[in-house]
Amino acid sequence: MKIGNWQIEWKPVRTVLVWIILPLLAGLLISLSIPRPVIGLIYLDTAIDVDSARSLIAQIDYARQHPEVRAVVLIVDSPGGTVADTESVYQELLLLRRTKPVVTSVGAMAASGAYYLSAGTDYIIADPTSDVGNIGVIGNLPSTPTIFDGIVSTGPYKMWGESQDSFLREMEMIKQGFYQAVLLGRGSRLKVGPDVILTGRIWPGAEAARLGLVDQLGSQTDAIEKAAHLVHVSHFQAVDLGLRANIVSAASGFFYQSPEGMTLPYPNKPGIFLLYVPPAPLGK
Amino acid sequence: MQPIKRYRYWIALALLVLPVLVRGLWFYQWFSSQPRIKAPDYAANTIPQPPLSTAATEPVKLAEGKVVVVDELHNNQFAPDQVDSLFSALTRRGARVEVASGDPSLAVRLKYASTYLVFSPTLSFSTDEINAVRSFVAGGGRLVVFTDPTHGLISTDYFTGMPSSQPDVDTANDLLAPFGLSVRNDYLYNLVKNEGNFRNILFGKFGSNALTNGLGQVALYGVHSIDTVDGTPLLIGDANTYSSQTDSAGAGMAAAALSADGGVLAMGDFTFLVPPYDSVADNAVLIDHIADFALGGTRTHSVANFPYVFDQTVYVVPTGGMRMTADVLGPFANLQTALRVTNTSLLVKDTPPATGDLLVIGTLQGDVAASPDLLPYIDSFGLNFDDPTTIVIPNFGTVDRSGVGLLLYQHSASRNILVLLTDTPDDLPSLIDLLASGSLESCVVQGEVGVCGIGSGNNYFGQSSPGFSPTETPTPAG
Repeated sequence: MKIGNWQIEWKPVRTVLVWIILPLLAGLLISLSIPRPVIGLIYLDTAIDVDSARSLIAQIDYARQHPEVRAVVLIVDSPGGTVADTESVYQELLLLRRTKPVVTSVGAMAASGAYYLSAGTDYIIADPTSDVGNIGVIGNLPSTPTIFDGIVSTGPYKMWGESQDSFLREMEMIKQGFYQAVLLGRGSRLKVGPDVILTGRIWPGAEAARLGLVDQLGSQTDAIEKAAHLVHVSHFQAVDLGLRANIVSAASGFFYQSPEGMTLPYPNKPGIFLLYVPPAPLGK
Repeated sequence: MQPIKRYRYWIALALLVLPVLVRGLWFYQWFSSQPRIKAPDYAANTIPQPPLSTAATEPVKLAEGKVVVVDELHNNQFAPDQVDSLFSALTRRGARVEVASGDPSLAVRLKYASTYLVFSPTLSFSTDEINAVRSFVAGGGRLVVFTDPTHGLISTDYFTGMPSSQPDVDTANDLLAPFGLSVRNDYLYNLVKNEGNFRNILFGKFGSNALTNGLGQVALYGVHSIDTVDGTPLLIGDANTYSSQTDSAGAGMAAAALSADGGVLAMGDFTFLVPPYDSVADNAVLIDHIADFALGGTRTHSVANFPYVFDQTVYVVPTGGMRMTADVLGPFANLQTALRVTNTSLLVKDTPPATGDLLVIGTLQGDVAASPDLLPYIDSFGLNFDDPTTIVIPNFGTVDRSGVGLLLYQHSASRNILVLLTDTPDDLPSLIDLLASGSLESCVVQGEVGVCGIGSGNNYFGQSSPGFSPTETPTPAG
């Protein structure tokens, strides 16, 4: 073949094209099918209630279903929430951890139920002054059962659910589950026993690290790096799984709203909670 | 081209793999695997159940006719139905439970009470009330003070709306301090071994006392710790029972203690009296023991307890030829009214009857020692009338006769006798009136003897106290 003054031989060109360029192009194309690793970010920045739990579970499920999500960072700033919702999210986290590591980054607070979830992850990083702990259960005693003239039921606890005494004992059972989750999650990293852990204290992150409730002091970036390190990936991208999973955040009705429109740190409904409730400002 | 031709397959393969390898290694340096994840065994967690009683029930010890005064004068944070298990135990023993919520005053009620029960007081006791309680205990009455960290007073500031908490310990300690007992403003907790909750404490170590006889385990529900200097700690926490004040166990935290004189019991909890907690562990036996303790005192009989010194019909017995003049009848009518609060009636009798209580009246004029109808009633007091202007009272001192009235009280199983003596018949109405008023404030009372200034003779009533030279410091309890 002649192009201008150039005489090009077709055979060598064909050889280069077939045996070099084409395989290279094919290799490049195939390599593009290797996804860029993703470190999924799941934010928990409200109380754990039915809405936030649904959102968290959807994101955890997304991470499980998508192989490019190699690890997850749970970014926590929460006082905890309801028992059932916390335990639901916790169970889903354990399922995720069977295949992918989860690292917790504690922002301002990982208290009570939020620490329950944190304890169910592989590694916990907190700020030196994060509020960590408050391991335990809190609740309002139900009313003493009575009967009314106009309301009838088929059993003494149909209207009240349970007696005050059994409510208290049920709390103790829930506490046992919480403590067990902490023991399983932290294992030999925990440096103190139940006499300290179960006091319900909140510790600053630095003290929590000394007690073995967290692994390391650091930032959210440190947590992402740690997650990447655990799965041996680099040049990853950190992605908010809430956006990927198309989670639409709904206003939470968990906390009590005062008539003036203020959100108070107390649950809207009575019940049993894994929640840090700040004490009311008592005079004496 | 020859080499290319020879290795073309390998080159093509290498070129195919290379981008995949480069991209793969760019992102993924190594494989990773997850450790085996364990989940809590939720099914193994059970609801803790209350311990059952192991102590044997003891027969009820009867204490017929005793009165238990329950304080409701000090904004006490309890409802009677909450402590009904104790009230039932007391009434089963034959005692009468009387809730003090108004008149008469505490001091008056304590004159006839055997037991004074106080639950979580939040309104201060006055000095007079504390003194009355001290006298009551010194006179054989039993004081039982229940406090409870869950029964403080929560109030809201009217202007700021700021809630404030007033625990019951401060007020209770005012009452307990004279007996060497104090309640700490704390609560006990045990995170290791408890009754369903960290603040519900199981006690298995007991101080040696009838109150703890036969107890195996007792459960208290939210409990203050009790300090005692020389008393007996009764319910003692184990090494894991901590005080919320110090977050430490100290030398064994006590939840109940008995005063050194054995007359005062301080309890750090009364929720254990509330069903269903009254039947957990050996709590029912403890409640029985508390009832036995409360009714186990023996009141010493003192004229200070007037009008509660009589318990049957009272017959007035004049001696020394005294007549029931018009001057005396008015005061006697007042006395009759005063005695109605004790459900006893006052009758005048010229000769003393074989049964019934006696109110003997007489004067010191003439030869008292030779007065045959008066002497039998005053003989046992050992009074000396040798000096015509004074009387010598054993363990009391020498008292002027003029302007003085004597109250001499004798108690026996069959009858009570109160002797009223004045220097002259003219003074007698004043002394009877003084007695009828129920207030012996112008009298020095020492056990079974009272010496009253009645202001006739050389003195004026109300301006002078009886002249005497005491040989012993009088105490309100006698």
